[in-house]
Amino acid sequence: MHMKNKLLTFVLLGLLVAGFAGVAIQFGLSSFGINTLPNLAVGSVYIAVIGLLFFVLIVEIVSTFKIEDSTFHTALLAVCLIGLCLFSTDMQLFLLNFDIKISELSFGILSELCFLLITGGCCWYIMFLYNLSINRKRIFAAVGSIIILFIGYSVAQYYGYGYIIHLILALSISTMFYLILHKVEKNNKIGLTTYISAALFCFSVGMQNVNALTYNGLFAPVLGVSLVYAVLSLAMFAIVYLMFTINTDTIAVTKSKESESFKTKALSGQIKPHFIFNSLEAIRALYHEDVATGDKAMNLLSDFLRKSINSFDNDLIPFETELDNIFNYTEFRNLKRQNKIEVMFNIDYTDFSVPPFSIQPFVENALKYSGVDEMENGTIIISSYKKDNYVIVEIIDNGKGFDVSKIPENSHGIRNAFGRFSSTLGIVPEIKSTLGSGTHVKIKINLNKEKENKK
Amino acid sequence: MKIVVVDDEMLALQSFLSNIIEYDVDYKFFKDGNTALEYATKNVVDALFTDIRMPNINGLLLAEKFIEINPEIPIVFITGMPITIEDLNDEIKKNIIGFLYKPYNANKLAEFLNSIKKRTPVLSIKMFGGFDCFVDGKLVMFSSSKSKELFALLITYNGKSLTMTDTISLLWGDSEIEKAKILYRNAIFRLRKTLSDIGVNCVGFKRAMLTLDKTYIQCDYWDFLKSGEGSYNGEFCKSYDWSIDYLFELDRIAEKMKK
Repeated sequence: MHMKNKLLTFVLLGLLVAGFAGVAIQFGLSSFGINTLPNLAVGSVYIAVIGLLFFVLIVEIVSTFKIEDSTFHTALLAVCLIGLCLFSTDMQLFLLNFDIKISELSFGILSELCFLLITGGCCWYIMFLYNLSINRKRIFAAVGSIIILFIGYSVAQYYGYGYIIHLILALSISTMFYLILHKVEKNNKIGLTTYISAALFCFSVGMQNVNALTYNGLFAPVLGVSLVYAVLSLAMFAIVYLMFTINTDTIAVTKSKESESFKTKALSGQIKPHFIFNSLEAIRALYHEDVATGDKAMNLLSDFLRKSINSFDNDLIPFETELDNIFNYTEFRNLKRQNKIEVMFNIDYTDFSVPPFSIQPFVENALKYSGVDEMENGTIIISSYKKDNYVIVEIIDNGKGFDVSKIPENSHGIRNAFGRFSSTLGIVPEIKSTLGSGTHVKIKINLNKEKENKK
Repeated sequence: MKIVVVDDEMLALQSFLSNIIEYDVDYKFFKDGNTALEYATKNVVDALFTDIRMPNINGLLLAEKFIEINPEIPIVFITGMPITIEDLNDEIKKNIIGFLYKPYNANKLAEFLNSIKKRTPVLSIKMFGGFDCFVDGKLVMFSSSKSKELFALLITYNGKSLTMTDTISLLWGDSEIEKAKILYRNAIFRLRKTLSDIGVNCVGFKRAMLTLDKTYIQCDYWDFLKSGEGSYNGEFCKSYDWSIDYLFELDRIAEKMKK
């Protein structure tokens, strides 16, 4: 099992246990008649905790001022969760012990506000993660459901059934979180959210349930116990943040080593002696035919070779440069050979980046392994268009197709392209090939994540 | 304009530059940087083209010395393998027009010369007879016949935007619509690439509309429409079917001019 998943499981389990431990704590304390926590410089801890939370939130806002950024989401969610712990009834009564009078109404409002922010934040994050565009219909649906829940809760609370709503809410938010974690795991992208949200959330859900059950008679409340939850949540946040930082450093180092080795392999693969000598001979022959054609071939090949050698300094190049690589390669091929291949650039969108020489190998593949190179009416169509938050790049040919499960041993250009797409953009190109009618390669690039990678 | 060219491997470069006679440039070739420097102290030099790896004095040092004599002098480095611009001294960075890589590309050289002369290339379009374009006197070779035809159509629109629907109906009227859209985008891609290679980026493509920037374009058809002067002899873009629609107006203007 993947190391990150192990960690995740450990954290989740540990905190569900802690949530239930909360039940035990409450039950135990109240059965011993302890109904308020002793004063151990508690006032200052309380202030320190709140202060730290808002400090963290502000730091996150200032350093990553992009609403889509998952780190911002997480920090917001974390703060709201801890806020929920602190703005609870038992804390209000607890503070009264120290003559700190805060009205029940303000506490109530603050805790409901945190709750609303969490729910809203979850909806927003889900839409971001599943790449749903934030349109009016969806905002209306999300806001509408939150308002309905809020009204429902208030009404239920009035009639003394508040705890049922608490439990239902805890269940539905757990479902939302399951959706988030499932998607994140599927993408194999373990973000800060995975750890912190999972950890804090399960804990708070547990605590919410405990509080709900307490205030509706199952246990006698222990004043100040929410503070314990808040401190524990903060400790969890700190531990998980540290683990995440350590983990991402390791990932970054491995990824950079991976991409280095892909780069060197790609470079040596591109400068194929066979291709070079073949091309030089073709150029010589063309010069004897006609100087202008010779010049044209010379320019195409040298631009292609120069870009091959230079490109590997960057992990990503503008899509238009990759189109140049494809253009140079195919135009040169058409000058060399008698049977012309019709190459169509069906380009509708170019404002994105790809790894260098990551798409040209698919075109080369179409020529060699799909047999388009030998055809009389061979066509290759390169398309690029935008769809929602994705850009789709397709390479379609009318060759004889090949067995996709056996990507030919010699085509390390393709293997390399797959490797670099995976390590720089985390995506896997799709290849569909039908024997006798052609091949369809589809590459889906998430524009939000692509922008994040460029940084 | 006088350009000093320094390269220890002179032969290929000499022959390349000597073939480019249409830019009204006087080249002085030197195999050795020091001799070139001596020349520069006694004569006005408008630009320096130099190799980097040379025996007595390397290109970077030579560039610095030329800048001492003339701080504004534009410099082009001729080289086989590229050198990253960050590795260079700040003093010479601002003088660098670019890098001319071997094997030489005539379009690139034209771009540099235009940049040195601080002029933009002029695109001359001939529509009477057959349709052809010339950039600074040299015939433009289009990467596909349809992209050339597309350009011709855009020119006849005389600055008005050209929609996808109009283009497809005129150029690919026989094709099935989805196929036609692919051919349309292909023609646009190839046209814009050709124009970008010659340094005349006058065609814009946004939201399925093609636009033309008329600055730096000279067109016999436009001039004829405006003033009636020109060499119209009954033929207009003769290889294109849609050009027939324009003949009526052109004949009418020609008749008017006779009176």
